[in-house]
Amino acid sequence: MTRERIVDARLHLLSRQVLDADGEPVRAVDDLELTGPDGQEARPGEAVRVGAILVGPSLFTRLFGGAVLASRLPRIAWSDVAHVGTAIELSVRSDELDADWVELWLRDHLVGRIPGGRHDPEADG
Amino acid sequence: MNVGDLLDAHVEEPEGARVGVVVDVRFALAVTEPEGEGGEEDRENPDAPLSEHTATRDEVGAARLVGLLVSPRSAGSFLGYERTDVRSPWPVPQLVRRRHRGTFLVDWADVAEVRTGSEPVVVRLAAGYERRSPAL
Repeated sequence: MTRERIVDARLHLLSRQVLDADGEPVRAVDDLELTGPDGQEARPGEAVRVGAILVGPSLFTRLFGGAVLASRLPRIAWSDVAHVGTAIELSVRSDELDADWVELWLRDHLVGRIPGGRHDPEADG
Repeated sequence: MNVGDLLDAHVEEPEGARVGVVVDVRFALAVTEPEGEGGEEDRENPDAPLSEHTATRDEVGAARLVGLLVSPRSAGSFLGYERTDVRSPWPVPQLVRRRHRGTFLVDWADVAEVRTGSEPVVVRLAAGYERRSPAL
């Protein structure tokens, strides 16, 4: 059965934690991108939906002002969202998301080269 | 256009008179209830992947933009008090409600124009727009 649930962006969505399908924290919601029904630019008065969750290095612009172009911000497609509650839960694993590319790149190229950097402490039980 | 562009935007009537500030953006989530009786259950085994648990819960589909919440006075956060009937902790709800009295919901269909080029962003309403209740 499908029904509609009313949520407000500031109250229920913005700054909420995003969890991946394994429950691992991904990012917090910084902004939401609005799109038209066929993925084109959102227009006033016409049907508009959330296209993507924007996550990004917002600390820099928050401290020093200015804004990053929205097209350059890492994004998580809204179609990957499975549940909206206290946190926003995704139906995909964070490894499959481009939004975490900085962390993945550092893991592969920096941390992984430190002796012991590829050791998984959780695998030891 | 992003939600961040709309938040704190100035709202104008068709003739240009200022009516307030966008304090929040309202969405309708399409929610599909899980099959079977009993509804949602708590996640009891923390070692099981979250995806196993979320598969048995309601699932969120598209998020449709319903409209904008406009406050005639303050752009500050209003904690949702005027949108619910929560009364405690006294006197916070009373103060917040007083600060945000006159807040209304305007349908997205009644928005004629969003000027994002200027700072602050200006939202112009269509002629004959309707002020709806902000209650959730």
